[in-house]
Amino acid sequence: MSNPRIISDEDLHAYIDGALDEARALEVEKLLAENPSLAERAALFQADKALLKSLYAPLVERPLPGEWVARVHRQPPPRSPVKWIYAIAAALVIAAVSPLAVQYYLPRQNADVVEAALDAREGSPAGERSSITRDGLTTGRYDAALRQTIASNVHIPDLSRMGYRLRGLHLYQKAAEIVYRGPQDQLFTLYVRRSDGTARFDQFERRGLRVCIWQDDQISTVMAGNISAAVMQRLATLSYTGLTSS
Amino acid sequence: MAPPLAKPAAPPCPSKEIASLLAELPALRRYAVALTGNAALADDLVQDCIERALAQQAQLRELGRLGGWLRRILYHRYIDEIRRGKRRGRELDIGDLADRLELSAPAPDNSAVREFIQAVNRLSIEHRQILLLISVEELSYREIADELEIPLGTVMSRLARARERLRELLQNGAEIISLPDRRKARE
Repeated sequence: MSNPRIISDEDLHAYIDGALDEARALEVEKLLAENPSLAERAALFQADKALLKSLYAPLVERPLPGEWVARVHRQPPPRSPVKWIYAIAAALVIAAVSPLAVQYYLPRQNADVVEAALDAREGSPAGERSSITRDGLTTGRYDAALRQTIASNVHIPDLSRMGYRLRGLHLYQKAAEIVYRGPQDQLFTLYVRRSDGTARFDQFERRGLRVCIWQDDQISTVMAGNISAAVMQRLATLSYTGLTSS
Repeated sequence: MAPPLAKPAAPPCPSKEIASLLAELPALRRYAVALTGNAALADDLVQDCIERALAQQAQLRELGRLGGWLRRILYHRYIDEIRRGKRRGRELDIGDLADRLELSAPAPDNSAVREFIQAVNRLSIEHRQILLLISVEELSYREIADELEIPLGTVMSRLARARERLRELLQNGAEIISLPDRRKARE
């Protein structure tokens, strides 16, 4: 058992990391208050920890290379020799056109769906909109309305694990916007429509919001909210897996 | 006139496992850049991880452990690279990334940031790894112990030594400045 009057290096760092139990943390806090040089040392370690995070954490926002996403979506690998020939031919075509596609085609396509999603979120969609509120609708009927609009076997994701509650569903001609409210009543929207067939995963800021686009060969989803990149990553995973669950 | 609605299609590809793998990639890439201090090498390592993960999809089903599993693969691949002394592609030091928008974090000035990054890059890999897991990946001590397969006490003592060493490097600026540039040293 640790001596309450001595702070070991391990205890000092556990205190910095919030890993001590409450009683020991209070003891360490008291001892630091009595020992300015030790308190200064602790403050420097805390500053280093904060700087590490502020320098490296934003790297998560760098867009992924398109070829990585395409590679992941090409699963499972073809097995027969004949299919291998097709796969090699397809890979050569992709390799030849992907720089152009990434540079010209994908940004325009993604911009379209992202802009459509954000317009919908702001209440100014391109087409007519019909809204369904949570009241009076079972999840099953919600799912049915979503599936009919998107013409794909998708489901309303359950985000309650992260404290986000379903609040409504807005339907457009070929798209839908699922509306959630978070623990602090923050708005999180999930816009879904049929994909143009390309694969894409990206996260960025647009119109003051954190936006994530997650697109496979069948559906395109755009998630938006006034949230951090880390929260978006978790919400995006939960949303996409819930949406596409069988 | 709106076209008639098609019959609902089969569940969209990819699977949950593949979707989860995609979602882990941005964080894995960040970890790789921070661990190696070299953006080109980091991308090579992440690509290797993708291939390995796709080849062992059974592992992907443990979604809660996916991030740790990928980081372990990446770490071991990095160690292999170092042992083989292999260098691929144009190297980009993390210090160069400090000028980029992604790293325009609040900091007193650019030179202080560069000095800090240089100090981090001069730590041993084990020290860099544990600092990144606690500070950037925000894992708990228990999660780090599980991921590195070491006792909790070792996590705590290694972390204490890593922070002390980083402080030494930062406080002894002359030592840092006198060391040759990493890229030049490799030439």
